Amino acid sequence: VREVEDPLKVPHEENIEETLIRIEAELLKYFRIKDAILFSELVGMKERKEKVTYFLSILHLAYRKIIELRQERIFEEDIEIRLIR
Amino acid sequence: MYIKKIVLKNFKSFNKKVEIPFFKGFTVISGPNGSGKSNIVDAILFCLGLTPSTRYLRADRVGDLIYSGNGKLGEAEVTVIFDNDGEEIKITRKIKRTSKGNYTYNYLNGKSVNLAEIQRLLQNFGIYSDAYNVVMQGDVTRIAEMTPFQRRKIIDDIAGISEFDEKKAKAIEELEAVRENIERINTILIEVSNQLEQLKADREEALRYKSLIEEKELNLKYLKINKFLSLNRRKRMIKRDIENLEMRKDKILKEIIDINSKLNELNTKADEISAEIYRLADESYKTIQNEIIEISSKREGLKSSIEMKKKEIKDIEDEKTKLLVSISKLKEEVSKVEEELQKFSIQKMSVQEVLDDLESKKSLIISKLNLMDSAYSELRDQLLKKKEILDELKERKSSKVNERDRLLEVIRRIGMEIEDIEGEIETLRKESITLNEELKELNKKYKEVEKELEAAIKRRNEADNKIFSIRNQISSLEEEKKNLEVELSKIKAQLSLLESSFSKAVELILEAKSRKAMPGVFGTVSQLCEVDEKFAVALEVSAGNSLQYLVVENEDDAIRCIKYLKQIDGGRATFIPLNKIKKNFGDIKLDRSVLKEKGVIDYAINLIKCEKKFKPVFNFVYRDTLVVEDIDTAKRLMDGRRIVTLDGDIVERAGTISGGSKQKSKGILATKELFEKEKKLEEEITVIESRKAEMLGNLRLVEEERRIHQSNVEEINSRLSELSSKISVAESKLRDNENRIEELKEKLTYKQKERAEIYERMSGVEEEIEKIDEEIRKISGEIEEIEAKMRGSEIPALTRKLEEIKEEIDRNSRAMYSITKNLENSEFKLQQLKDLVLEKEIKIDELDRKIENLKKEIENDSQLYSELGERLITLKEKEKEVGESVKDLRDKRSKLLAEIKKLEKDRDEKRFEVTGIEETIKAKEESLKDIEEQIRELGEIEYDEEEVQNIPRMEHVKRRLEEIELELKKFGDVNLKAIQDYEEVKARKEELMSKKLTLEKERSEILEKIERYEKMKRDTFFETFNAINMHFKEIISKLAEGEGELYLDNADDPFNSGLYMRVRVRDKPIQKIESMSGGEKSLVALSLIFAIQKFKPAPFYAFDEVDMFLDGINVEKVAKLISERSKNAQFIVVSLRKPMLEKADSIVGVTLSKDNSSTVTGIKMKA
Repeated sequence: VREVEDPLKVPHEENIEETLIRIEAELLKYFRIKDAILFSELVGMKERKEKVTYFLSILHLAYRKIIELRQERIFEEDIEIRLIR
Repeated sequence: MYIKKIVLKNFKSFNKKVEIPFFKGFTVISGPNGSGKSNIVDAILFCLGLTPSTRYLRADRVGDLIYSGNGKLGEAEVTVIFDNDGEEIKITRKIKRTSKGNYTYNYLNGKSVNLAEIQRLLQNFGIYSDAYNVVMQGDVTRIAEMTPFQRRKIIDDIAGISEFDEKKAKAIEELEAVRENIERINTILIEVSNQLEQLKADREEALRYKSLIEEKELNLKYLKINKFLSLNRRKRMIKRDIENLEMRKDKILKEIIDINSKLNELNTKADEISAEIYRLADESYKTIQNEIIEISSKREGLKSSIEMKKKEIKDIEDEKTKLLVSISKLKEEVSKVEEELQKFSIQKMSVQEVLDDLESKKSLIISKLNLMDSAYSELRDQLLKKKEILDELKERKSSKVNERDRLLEVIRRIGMEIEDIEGEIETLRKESITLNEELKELNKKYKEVEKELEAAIKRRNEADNKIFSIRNQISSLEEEKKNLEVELSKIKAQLSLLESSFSKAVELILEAKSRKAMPGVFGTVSQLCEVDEKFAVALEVSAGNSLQYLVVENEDDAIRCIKYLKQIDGGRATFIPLNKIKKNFGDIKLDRSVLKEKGVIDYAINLIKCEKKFKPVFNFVYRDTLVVEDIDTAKRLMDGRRIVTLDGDIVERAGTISGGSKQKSKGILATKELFEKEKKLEEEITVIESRKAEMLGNLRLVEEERRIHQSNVEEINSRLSELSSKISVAESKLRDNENRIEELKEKLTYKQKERAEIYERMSGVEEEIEKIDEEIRKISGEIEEIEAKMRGSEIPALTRKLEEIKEEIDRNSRAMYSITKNLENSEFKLQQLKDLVLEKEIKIDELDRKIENLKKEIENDSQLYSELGERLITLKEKEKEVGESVKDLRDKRSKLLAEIKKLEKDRDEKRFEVTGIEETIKAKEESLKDIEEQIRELGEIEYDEEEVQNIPRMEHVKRRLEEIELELKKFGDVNLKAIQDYEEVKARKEELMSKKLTLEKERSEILEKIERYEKMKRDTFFETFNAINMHFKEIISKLAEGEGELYLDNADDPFNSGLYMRVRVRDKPIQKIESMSGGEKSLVALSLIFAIQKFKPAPFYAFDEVDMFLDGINVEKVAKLISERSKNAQFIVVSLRKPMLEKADSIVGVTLSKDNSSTVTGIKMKA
């Protein structure tokens, strides 16, 4: 199996690091008041581009063991996001 | 058709079951690097078998595809579910890691299939493993970096021109083969022409030789005709002999038939007698035997039962005398009791008188009292009342006392009876115990004796069976002996026939040898070997007359035999001295290579089995004669060899061939075997005879043994019946005792019950007595009071006197009571005694009747005994009679058997004679056949009477033959075959020439075929190239916003040229791919891939990070292109690039969960 590379080495359009910090902060705000948040609540009615950015970010935050994602039936349910304490 | 769902179980980074739905259109799989997004595309490739090896799946071995995180599960599974217009197609592939290695399993809709079946199915839907519907990042770079020549190969693969290459290669191979054939034929032609030249000279010589041979054959024909005519004459003579012999044979056969019918008659009679013997000996003898046993045991039984009954009578008489004695004692007692009774009655009378007197005094006093003092009358009345009451009480008391005494007496008597009964029971019990023990003993003994009897009977039966089996063995031995004798007579007939086939001289020498009159003679060649039946004909024919040669130790033995023949004018014979033949024929060289030839069996010498010392004899007889299967093989191998076929056709070294109708083995070579068989049969017959004698001896012993066992059985039987009657007597006595005990027990319980009742009554009486005493005491007190009041008058004195009289009366009445009591007791006792006497008298009568019965039984038994005795005598006489009749029958049977034997011997001699005649007829027929054979061997001889007339005299014919021989000798080795060979070679040459022509024609056809393939290959290539180029131009113009095209550097020779791509990106100058930037290269390579996909569309496409090196704008363009094309086909693209994700209809997000295994989420971008 291929060696796990640093996810950020690959060329991205914009600096994803700043995006991750921004979205992590936004999530922490929610987690102060509740344990879990749904993806649709997070992105609300945001535009397609923003929806892609948020989705890629939660994938990276989960990869870094900051949050945990749960979706029993892929596409059919919403994605539940929880903070890993 | 599109991928509807993928299910991963423990595959690569997915450690649990993950179901990922997919949709038509454009799906992007994204997520951080190393989270396992490419593993999804790998799963598709693995499951559908779209990659030649696991290295494409970034795994060295198939086992590495299994999630290694949780070691213990050694299994991974991937399922791809297609939706084909509503019909679901489910393809599953499983890997199992076992101790023996990794195994993969494929399933189609749940059914186990092999990978090839799945690939065939996918190909029907346009999914090929090398068709670019799954494009990895490496593919884009590879196309961008590959050489033009390699790139052109892509078009070759897509066009599928390799099929034409294969066909062309095959045609070239054929061409090569044809060329080689033509070359080979040319060389052969040269050789054949030379051969033809050489044969020409031999042919002329052969023709000359042939004409001489023809002349020789003509003369030989004359010889043949001459021989033919003389043979026919001999034939007629032999036919006449055979007719005479046939008549003689029929006559004898008739005689044999008569004998046979007589034999059948005698045999049936013998069988009847045997059956009668069997019936008498076995059935009636046995029934008599059994009846004898039965009767003697019955008589024994009767005898012992008579004795038992006499003993029983004696016992009964003893018992009777005892009873009589006890009766007389009882009678004495009765007379005593009667005396007592008399005494008591006298006493009773005297006491009665006293009582009467006292009564009169008492009434006197009472009348006196009545007259006296009326003053006391009340008191006196009271007193009298009281006294009457007292008297009444006293009376009641005395009657109660009497009753009590009577009850006591009854209790005492019952007690005595109970004692007697218990005593009798006890004695009976003891008697029963002894009887039981005795019975047990008797039964035990009975069982032992029974076992003894069984064993004796078993021994007797064993003896019977032994007798029966020995008799059977004797008769089967006789049967076996008869068969062996018949076989022996046949072999003797065969030997004599064989010996008759030897010449007279050989017969005489053999006969002398058998008389041991001719030492040093081993026998004829045929007698000294054994051969397999299969080769007998070939070996007989090839040995010819030498089979009759006589083998002797040395030349002196041979000379001695020759002198003997001279002496007795016994004819001529040939001898082989072993010492001489060993020198020249000890060992012979055989060319073993010929044995490999087809149809060759072996050298004749190798097919002969003989003793080592006789090997040189057979080397001399057979030398290097070769045995082959058939005449064709002989023909093929005949040059200079002596060959014989299994059917007896023979090719001589000189080239002559003789053969014809199938030969039959004369059996000459089988003589050794026959002698051995004869000797063996004779030995077997003598063994049978000795065994039969031994058996007869055994039979007599066993019959004696049987007689002893039989008497033993009878003796035991009588002991047994004696025991059984003792047992039955003891049992009946025991039964009587038990019944008697039962009876007594019942009586005892009855008596005990009676006693208890009486006890009860007595205690009631005693209670009453006590009450009365109480009342008496009370009344006496009252009387004393009244008397105290009445004192001073005479009344008291009178009253006292009255009292005294009353007491006297009272005493006397008690005495009267006791007397009457005694009287009663005595009467009761008398009655009891009388009853006892009566009982005993009844018992005596019973015993008398028993004696009477027993006497009658004894009488009957004795009468039966005597009757059985007479019956026994008659049976024993009958047994004797049966024994004698069995003996007579046996004698009669043995006479019959002797007569049968004589007739059989007579029949066998006649049969022997018939076989002899048959053998001679056969021999004559054989020689007739030989003659006919010789006639046949002479073959067809066409001649006519005229020719016969022209036949020159035999001397001229012979002299001419000699001249021809001399001339022929001059010729040396004439290759007669040259004539034929010349023709053959000539024909062969012509054949080769025509073959050469056909091959050349074939070669030109192949060349045309090759050209045709070349053209088809070229057309297919350009058709594919142009189509892909058209799509490429269209796609590149979109992606590069410019133009581009594919081109070959040498279109005339496409398969030796490279494929180039030139593109103008936007306003930049036209560039070849080789000079472009990395991103531009990727874009151009991608365009070619899209063009290929458009040329060969597939239901779904998968791209893995193909946009890695494109800049943002180009990613957008590619994404846009994919989005457009996803209207007609499903696109699954692994990408990190946001522009790609933004164009997707749905995104599959892959990241790592807490346990570092891949986890999947998904969002839909389109509503």
